[in-house]
Amino acid sequence: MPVSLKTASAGLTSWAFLLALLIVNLINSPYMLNAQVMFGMLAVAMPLVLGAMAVTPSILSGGGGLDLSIGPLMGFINILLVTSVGAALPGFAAVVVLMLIGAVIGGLNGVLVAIVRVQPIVATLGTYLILSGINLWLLPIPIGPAPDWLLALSRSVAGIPGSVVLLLIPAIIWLILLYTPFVRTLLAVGGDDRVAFSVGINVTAVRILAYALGGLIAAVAGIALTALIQSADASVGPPFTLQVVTAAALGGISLAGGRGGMRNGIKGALSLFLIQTLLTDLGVSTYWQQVCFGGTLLLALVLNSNLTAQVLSGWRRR
Amino acid sequence: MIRRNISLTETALPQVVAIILMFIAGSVLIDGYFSSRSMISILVFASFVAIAASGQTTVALLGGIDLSIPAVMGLANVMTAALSSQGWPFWTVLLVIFGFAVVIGAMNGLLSMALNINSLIVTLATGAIVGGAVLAWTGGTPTGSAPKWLSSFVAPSGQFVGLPLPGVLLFWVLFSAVWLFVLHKTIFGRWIYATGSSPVAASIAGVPTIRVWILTFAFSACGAATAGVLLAGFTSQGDVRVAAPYLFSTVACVVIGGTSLVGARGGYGRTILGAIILTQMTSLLIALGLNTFLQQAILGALIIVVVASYGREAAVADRL
Repeated sequence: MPVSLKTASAGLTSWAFLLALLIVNLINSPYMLNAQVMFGMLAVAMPLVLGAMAVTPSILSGGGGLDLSIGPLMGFINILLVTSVGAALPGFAAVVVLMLIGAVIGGLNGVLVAIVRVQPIVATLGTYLILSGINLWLLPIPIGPAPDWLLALSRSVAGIPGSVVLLLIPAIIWLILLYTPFVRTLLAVGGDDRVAFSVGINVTAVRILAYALGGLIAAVAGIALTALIQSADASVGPPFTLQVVTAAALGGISLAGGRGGMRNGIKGALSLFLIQTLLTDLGVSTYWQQVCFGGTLLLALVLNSNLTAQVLSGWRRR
Repeated sequence: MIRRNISLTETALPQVVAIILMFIAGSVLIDGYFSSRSMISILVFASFVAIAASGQTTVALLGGIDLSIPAVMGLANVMTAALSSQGWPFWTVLLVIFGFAVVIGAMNGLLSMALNINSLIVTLATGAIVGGAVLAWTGGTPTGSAPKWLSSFVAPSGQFVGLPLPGVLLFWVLFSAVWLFVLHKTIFGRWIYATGSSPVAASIAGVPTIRVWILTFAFSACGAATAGVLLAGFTSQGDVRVAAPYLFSTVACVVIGGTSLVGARGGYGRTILGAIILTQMTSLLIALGLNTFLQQAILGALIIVVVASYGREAAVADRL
C-alpha cells in the first residue's frame, strides 16, 4: 500500500509519543519493569485496546461512519458469556458463537447505515440505547462467577498471557484481510464513496462488512472484559464507547474516514491506558485524571491537525 | 427568501401527526392523561430538553455536534447552587456562568473550524475537561442549594404572575422566540445555514465561517448553561452528573424533530416538536408500566425508525 511521507511521519510521531509515555511510566514506577506486572497491565488494557480496534473499521468506512454501540455490545457479550453461552458451551465453541453474535449485531448496524441510510451516529446511538437497555433488563444486578476456562485466560496460556491470545484473533483476521482487496476497498470507500462507486466497488457491501467486522472484534473485547472482571455487569460496557472513540482519535485515525488502520486504534488505546496508569501512580484523583485526559486529547488533536502540519512545513521550507 | 419545492420530508407534518396520535393514545389508555396538570408537567420536562437542545440544533445546522452540553449544564447547575448558597446575588452568578459558557463554546468552535478537527472529538475533550474540573471542585458530592424562587419557577404546579402556568413555560416561549428570530430573521442566522450548507461556498461569498462556528458554539454553550440553571431549580442541589442523560437526549430530539446532523436542514421549531415527542413518548411508556430499561431500548428503536421514515440520506448513486 502506498504510504505518503506525511502519514509516515505522523505515524512515527505517535509511536514516539507512545514510547515516551512508556519510559515516563517506567521511570515513575520502576516496579513495572517485570514480566509478571507487564502481563497484568496488558490484561487490564486489553478491553480498551480491542474496543478501539472494534471501532476502527466503522470510522475507516467514511461517510461520518462511527459505531457508538461498541461499548454496550461489549457489555452484551459479557452478559451472554457469563449467564448463558459460556455455561452451555465449551470454551472454544463459546468464543466462536459470541464472535458470530457480535458480527451479526455489527452487521445490523451496517445495514442501518448502508441500506436504510440513517446517519451512522444516529443509527448506532439507537443501537447503543437498545443494547444498554437490554443489558440492564437481562441483568439488573451484577452476577458471577465467569466460566472456569476464562480464569485460565486471565492468567496465561502456554506461557503467553491469555489476554494477548485474544489480541491475536483480530490481529490475524486483519493481517489476512490486508492481503485481500477488502482493506484497500474499505479505504477507497472511506476516502470518497462516490469515486469508489464509480469504479464499480459495491459500497453498500463494503460498509456492512466493515460494521460486521467491528462487531466481531467488539465481541472479542467483551470476552477480554469478562476475563478481566470475572463476572457479568450491565454497567461496565457502555462507558467504553467514549473511551474507544477517544483512543481512536488519539491514535491519529482520520474521523473523516479512508485513512488509518488497526495500528492507530492500538496505539491510541495503549497511549490512553499509559496516561491513565501514570496519573493513577502519581496519585492524581480520578476527577483531575479526566481533566488531564481531555487536555491530552485536545493537545494531540491540535498537533495532528492539518493547520499545524502546514505551519510546521512552512517553517521547514524557510 | 429562497423558494423551493416542499415535500413531506421538509414539512413538520409527520412530527405534528406523531404528537397528536400519542396524545390520543395517552388519553384513551391512561387515566388522568387528559388533564391540564399532566399536560403542563409534560411541557415542563420538554422545556428542559428543548432548551438544552437549542444549541445542539444550531450546531447541527453547521454540520457539527456538541458533546460538551452535559458538562456545561453540570457546570451551570453546580455554580447556581453553590454560589447562591454562598450569598452571591443571582445576577452575578449568571454573569460568571455565562462567562464560562461563552469561553468554552468559543474554544469548541475555534478548534473545530480553524484547525478542521471533527467537532465530535473536540467537544468530547472539552466536555471531559469541564466535567472533570467541576467534579474535582465539588469533590464529587452534590453541593449547595438553589434559590427558593428558582424552584417554584420551574415546579409544574407553580404559578407565575397570577397565571396558572409555571414560569419556566413562559420563559421557554420567550427563549424560543429569541432563538427562532436569530436563526430565521437575522443575517447571522442566514450565515449559519450558508456555512452548514457549504463552508467553502459560504466563505467565497464572504461569510466569516470561522467566526460563525465560534459564535454558534458559544450560543450552544449558553443554551446548555440556561438549561443547567433551570435544572438547579428542579434538583435544588448542584451536581454535575444530573446532566449526563442530556448527552443523548439532546441529539435525539434534534433528529426526531427532523434537523439533519449533516447541516443546513431543519431549525429550532423542529427541535421544539422533537422535545415534545420525546417527553410524551417517555411519559407514555412510564405510565404504561414498562420496565425502565426496556423503555430505553424502545426509545433507541424508535429513534432509528423515526429517522429512517424521513431522515434518510441520499444513495451513493444519487450523489454522483
